[in-house]
Amino acid sequence: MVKLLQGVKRGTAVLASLAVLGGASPLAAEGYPEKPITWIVPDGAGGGLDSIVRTISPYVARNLPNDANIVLKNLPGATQTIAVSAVHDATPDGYTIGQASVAPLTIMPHLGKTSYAGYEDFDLIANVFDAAHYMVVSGDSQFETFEDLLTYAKAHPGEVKVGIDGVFNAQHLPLLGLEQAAEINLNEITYQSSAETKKALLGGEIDAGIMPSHIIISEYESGSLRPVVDVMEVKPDYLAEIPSLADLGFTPSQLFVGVIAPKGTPQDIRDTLTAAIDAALRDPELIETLATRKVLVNYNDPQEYANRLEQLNSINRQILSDFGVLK
Amino acid sequence: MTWRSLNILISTVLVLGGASYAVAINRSASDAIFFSSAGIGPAYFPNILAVLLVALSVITLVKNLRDPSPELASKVTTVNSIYIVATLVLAAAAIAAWQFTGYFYPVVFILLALLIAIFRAEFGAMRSLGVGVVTSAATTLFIYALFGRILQISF
Amino acid sequence: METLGHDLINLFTITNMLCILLGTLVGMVFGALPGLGTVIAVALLLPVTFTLPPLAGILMLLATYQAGEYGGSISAILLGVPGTPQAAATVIDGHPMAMNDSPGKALSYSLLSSSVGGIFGGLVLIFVSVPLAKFALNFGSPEYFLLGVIGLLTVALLSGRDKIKSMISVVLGLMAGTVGVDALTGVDRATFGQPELMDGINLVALLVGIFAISELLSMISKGLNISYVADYDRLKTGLTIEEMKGVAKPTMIGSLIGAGTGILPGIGGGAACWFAYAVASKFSKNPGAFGRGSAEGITAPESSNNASAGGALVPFLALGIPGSAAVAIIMGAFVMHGIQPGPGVFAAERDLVYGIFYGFIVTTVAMYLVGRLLTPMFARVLVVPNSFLVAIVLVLCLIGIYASKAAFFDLWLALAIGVLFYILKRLEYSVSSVIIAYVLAPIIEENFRRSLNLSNGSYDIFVSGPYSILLVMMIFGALTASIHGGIKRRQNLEPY
Repeated sequence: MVKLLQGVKRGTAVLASLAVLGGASPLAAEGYPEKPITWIVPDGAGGGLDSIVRTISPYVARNLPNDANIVLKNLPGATQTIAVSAVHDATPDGYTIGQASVAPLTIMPHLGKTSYAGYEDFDLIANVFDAAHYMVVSGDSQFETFEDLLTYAKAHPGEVKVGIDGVFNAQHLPLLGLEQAAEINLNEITYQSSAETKKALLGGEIDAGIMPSHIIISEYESGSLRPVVDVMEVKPDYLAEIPSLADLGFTPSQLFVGVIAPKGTPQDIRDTLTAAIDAALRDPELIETLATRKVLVNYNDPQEYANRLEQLNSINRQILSDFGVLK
Repeated sequence: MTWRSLNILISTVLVLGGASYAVAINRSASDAIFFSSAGIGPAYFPNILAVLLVALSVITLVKNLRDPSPELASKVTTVNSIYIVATLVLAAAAIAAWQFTGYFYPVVFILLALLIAIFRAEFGAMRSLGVGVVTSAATTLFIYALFGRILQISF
Repeated sequence: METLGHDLINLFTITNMLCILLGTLVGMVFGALPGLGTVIAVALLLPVTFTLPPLAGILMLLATYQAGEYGGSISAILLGVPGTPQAAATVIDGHPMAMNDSPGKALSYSLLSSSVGGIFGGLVLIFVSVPLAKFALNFGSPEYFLLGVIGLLTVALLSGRDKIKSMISVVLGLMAGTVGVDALTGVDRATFGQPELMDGINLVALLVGIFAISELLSMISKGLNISYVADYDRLKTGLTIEEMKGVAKPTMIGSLIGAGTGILPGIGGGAACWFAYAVASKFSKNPGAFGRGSAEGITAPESSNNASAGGALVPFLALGIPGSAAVAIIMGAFVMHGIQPGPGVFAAERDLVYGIFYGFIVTTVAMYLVGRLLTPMFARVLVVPNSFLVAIVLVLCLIGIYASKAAFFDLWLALAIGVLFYILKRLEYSVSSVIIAYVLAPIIEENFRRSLNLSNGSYDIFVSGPYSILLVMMIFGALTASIHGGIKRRQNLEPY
């Protein structure tokens, strides 16, 4: 039954994107791929990132030559470093690639918790999507705007409680950076997930919380939660009216998720993979599916992807070094 | 081994386990610089637990040594202990073979066939091996069909 | 009731019914296989739902969730090996009843109370989800800490003859629960450099090691070429009206506690079953039977884990906060179709929400019917000689552990834990206490420390709200009661 349904989906999708396939098929890199490509997913089956990769991977496979077959392998855990380490240790023959967010590439290496030294230890294929995280207050909060919060926090150091979904991650470091830049001292309260942060904020336990944009849409519309500032670089259209840190003169943080390969993967194979991802992300059908799910598609070629990682890496290293935890 | 010595052995293992846990916790906890303002750091609870474990295990140890009851002096008997050891050895060998060769289905087939053959050894070597191979083949096929084909989990 | 009629027509379509049936079957089988469990079943079916209409897909996952909660008890009762953490409490009375009395009857008690719990959870969902979800928000970090402490007190009811050894079990469970990266500081705790331990000891590996592997080793000792049940009469599954009446009270207790715990995100069915077991034994007329195959001891935890499934949907639908790991995955099916759970969903997706409400009741009915059909077959497992049973269950356990995280480390860990607990069990250490302590350790520790971070170190936060004061009073009440009365009965309990 499972197989059957997947087959049906694949069949109709192939028909719909025949045109794209014809146009984007690259000059085949000498018979690659000859066997299934393993795509390592740093998330458990059924998780948020897992279902995004599951959605995208068939489109990527379709845009690869030689009837390519992609097999997903879930290796969750340890802030994605288990999966990224597995990519690092794989043979660089183009048959192992992996998905990675920014934390395992630009934060965890600085804490001495990884077998690899940083994002430079990988060949980058392409960035796939970005995420926007907002600082959110309750609908009845005294803070109408981000400036209100800053003013209050300046006058009352350590008093404003801000929820984040973990330490040393893509929410924690931007918050620390912001505290430095705005010369304020907030009381960071750590939760296990953004869902917990949201519960705490709705329950009045904290004054503000950092949360991904897609989990607050319903509350934003009903007025029970109020996003005051976008912490990240990108801005989703459904929250376009909320200012971002950049709009207010601060350096925004970035949260983007791309595809990486082990160092030493042949250039032509990398080009083939990059082109396939580029073509997949132009497929109108995939674009529509991802838009329904509020995924902010953002294709970056390897060079641009590397530039963004380098920029974020130096910011993060600076923050960690200022707090004395750099390894 | 008597029940008394088994008790002593386990209490000692628990004391050592508690101690190494405490050492491991306190070594890494020195890295903690955030969020320890309230004085309850990452090593606070673990240290309490380690002390409790060691203390309780020592109490058990002492109680055990002072308990005069004859049961404690009797030997620990385990029915079919040979089979238990065989099961554990085979399971460990199977995990190792799976981990280092990557062949899941052959490993499962051999493990099942051997286990069943050994467990049924009393019915005669050839007969039990036959039953083992047939049952194992059917079970492995079922596992392959369910997990490998229908659910598409790759082992 | 116009909307009701309208909804029901949309609900009883062939697609929906087939999806519920498929979900029920998958959930029950996966729940019953040790180590696989509800979360994996739901995760595996999630991609399938992407191709289905929203209601059909969501109902399929809910059916899987419900049936998985029941399925975990099947192996708990028959083999003494809980298929899911939520079924761990069922082992205590379910397994002895299956061994000494009738496996068919034990399964029937479990199915009946699971269904009642499921229906109760569904009714809670239909009638009071919005106010309940708002109420649940009153429970913050200090209240969670206090609830965790109450949970730990219930362990006292499970302890065996040797008090000290029971306490050691609790401490071992709490220690196991602290392993991994500390959520509040990012510091590694007792990971011994293993990346696989950074997220803590895998619950599946722990559960399979403690219950399954140690139980398999005991089964070898009991005799390899015997089967548990030779007498086919004992496989009969019917219950008399009298027997049903006898478990009405524990089933109600379990349903209430399950739904109440389910609405609190992060506490979940794993703790609910123990709360229910403890409370039911307190209020029982025949507490001495608990631990020896008491029907009440089966029905209380069983109704609670299915009621908690309905409860866990309350904060999810009303606030967009998933109440359990399985619901977090079900959320994927919503997101896939662009539906945002939360305050707006009742207006924006009215048909869908009511379809889910009534559909949830239908999934419970499906679970009962499929369970009724399959129970006699499941009970027959005990006719299979141990030589086959031990070998096959061992392989299924290995698959289950690997399927949860694809880590070989977890397989070795489970094997080691299995050997250790096989010995500990023979020395009359309590094994159930380890699991409940493991489940509660992060709830207690994290919320305690988080509360102090919130209050800048002031302990007043634990008595600052009406609910925290109530919980503190309950803790003191329970402590005094157990010092006064509970001791004498406890001594008779088997060391599970």
